[in-house]
Amino acid sequence: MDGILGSIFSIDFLVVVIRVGVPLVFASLAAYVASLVGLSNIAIEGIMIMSALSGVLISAFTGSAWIGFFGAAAIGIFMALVIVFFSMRLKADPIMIGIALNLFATDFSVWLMLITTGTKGMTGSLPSKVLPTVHIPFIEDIPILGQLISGHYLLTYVCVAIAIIIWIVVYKTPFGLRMKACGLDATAAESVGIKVNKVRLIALILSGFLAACGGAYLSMGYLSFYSDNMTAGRGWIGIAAAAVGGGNLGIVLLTTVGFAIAQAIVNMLILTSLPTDLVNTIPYICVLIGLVALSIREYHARRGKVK
Amino acid sequence: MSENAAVKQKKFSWTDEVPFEILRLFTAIVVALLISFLVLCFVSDNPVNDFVSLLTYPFKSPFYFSYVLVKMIPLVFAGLATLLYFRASLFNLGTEGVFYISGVFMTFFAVNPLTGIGIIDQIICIAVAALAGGLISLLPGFLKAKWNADVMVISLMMNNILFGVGLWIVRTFLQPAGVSGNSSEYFADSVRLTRIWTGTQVTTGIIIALVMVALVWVLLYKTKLGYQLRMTGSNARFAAYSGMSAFGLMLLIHFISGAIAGMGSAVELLGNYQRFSWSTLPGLGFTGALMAMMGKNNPIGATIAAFGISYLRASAQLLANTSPVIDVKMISIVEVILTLLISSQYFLRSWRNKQMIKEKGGE
Repeated sequence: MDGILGSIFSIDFLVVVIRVGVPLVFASLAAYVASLVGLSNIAIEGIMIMSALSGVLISAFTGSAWIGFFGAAAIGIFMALVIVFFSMRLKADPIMIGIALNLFATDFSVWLMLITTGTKGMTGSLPSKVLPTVHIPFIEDIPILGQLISGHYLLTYVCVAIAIIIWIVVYKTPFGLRMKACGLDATAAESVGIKVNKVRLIALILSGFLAACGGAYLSMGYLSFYSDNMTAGRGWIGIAAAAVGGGNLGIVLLTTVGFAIAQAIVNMLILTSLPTDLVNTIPYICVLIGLVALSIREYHARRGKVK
Repeated sequence: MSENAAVKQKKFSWTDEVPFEILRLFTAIVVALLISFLVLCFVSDNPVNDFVSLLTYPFKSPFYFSYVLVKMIPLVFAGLATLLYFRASLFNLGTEGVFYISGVFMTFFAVNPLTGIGIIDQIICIAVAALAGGLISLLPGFLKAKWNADVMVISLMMNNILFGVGLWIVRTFLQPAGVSGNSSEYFADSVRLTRIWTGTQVTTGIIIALVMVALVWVLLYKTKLGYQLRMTGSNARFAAYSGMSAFGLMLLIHFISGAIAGMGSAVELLGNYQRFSWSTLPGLGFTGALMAMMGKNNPIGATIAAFGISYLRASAQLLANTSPVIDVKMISIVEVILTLLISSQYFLRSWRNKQMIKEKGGE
């Protein structure tokens, strides 16, 4: 146990948190952007699955990691557009669409693996490509800082950049205000001339792209192949984090980081003699407690208002 | 007299409520099958042959057809459990985890039957699973009723937690000593459900499933509780105004749904398995959500959907042995398109509007 405590307060642990955290941050940003404009994207898990797999397949067939990545992004955006089309034009419940897309991705990805590789488990036999790792000159030579800031996958930096851009857009630009207006009251937003459908379309495209980045990170960085159930509920954790944070990006990100830390600790505990199956449930229990705590807080806030 | 009646009777038109719904459903099925045919064209050497056998294979022998019924049973249970949630506008997807954990609890009683009398032991097993499922489902129900927690995310987190706990129980308490793997000891012969169609695997489970369909239908459309449940779904404040405790209603819905899922798990395990050997979540609960959506949250609709999807799944699974491209997972294409089109309120609406304007213009 001492060994574990020691390793938690180390640089290596922080690096693990970053590696584990990036796909989660992508997922929670995707959920955040969509819920901000009032059109829930429940299909994040499914988008991550499909883009993780298509990134691998496309990069293997074209021989280019970049074409693979853009293919994955295109798939993610396409799936987000399915949500937009069916909810706006055909008036289906976005939650139902999301559930259907998730279930579709879970099964369809296995079939795609079967027809491309002949096996249902993983794509290890395909010569798929991996997105580059970035080494920042000079900084990588600084002892501790270098290890923390340099030497991550490209998408890690993309993730940080996008998070900052989203923060600026949401909190500092008129468009961010419009996004929030659409989420708070679409009719009121429409009445003051905001094109609600257009704002939602843009937000959902971004949401699909972000989820696709999360998927591509898993299969073209974190690992170099796709395996069945690789996303392991990360999309749902993103949705949970967005729910815990409400409209507040800071809390959304903090929740996500908290979850990443829990996951990193679990990765270490698995190596001990504790029962693996139970240890694996710890992150989910954390999210559950977080959600319940949030609901209780909101419940009391509502009661306070009524009084 | 009869001539008069015939004149008064409105001319049949596809734009009327019921024919239009049938037309919509039919179109959705045709579109879904067409798209899966197109997908087959990409990957198969002989798409027409593959497609035709996919649609007809279960009729080739009684055994193949019985396989459809076997696959349908758990989907009916999962569909019933989920549609009760959806009816009340609760997007609870926890049926998956409940299927797993209630199967684990049932296994204790299936491995060491209490009485040794077949039918009583079977009833005990199914009751234990139902009780376990119902009680566990009370947790999200309570969190929703008390603090209005997000039931979908909570149920999904619970799926992972229940799976971890369930697998731990199997490995620690149910696995025979000295054997590796994640399986329990074999179920006693007496608890295994009776086969009712010789030469096939169809058991009394299908009767239990159909009885449950009838019971849920009665519950939804013929009881006060069902009325309140349906009204709560369309208007959240209804329960409060009608004097019914929203808290109690919420807990009751969750208990009933969980119990149905638990029964489904027991029937599936006792009917088709020799021991508890699920080392991943079985996926049946999630498919139940699709059945509920395709059946428009109607028990009979969900049963028909379960039959249709099981038909294709069974066909695909039987063909998978000989074909390199057909697999059960391929049916997901049909499933997603059907679900999307059926839950789209405006699907074909503009066509209907145009037709109606044309008819009016003709008069």
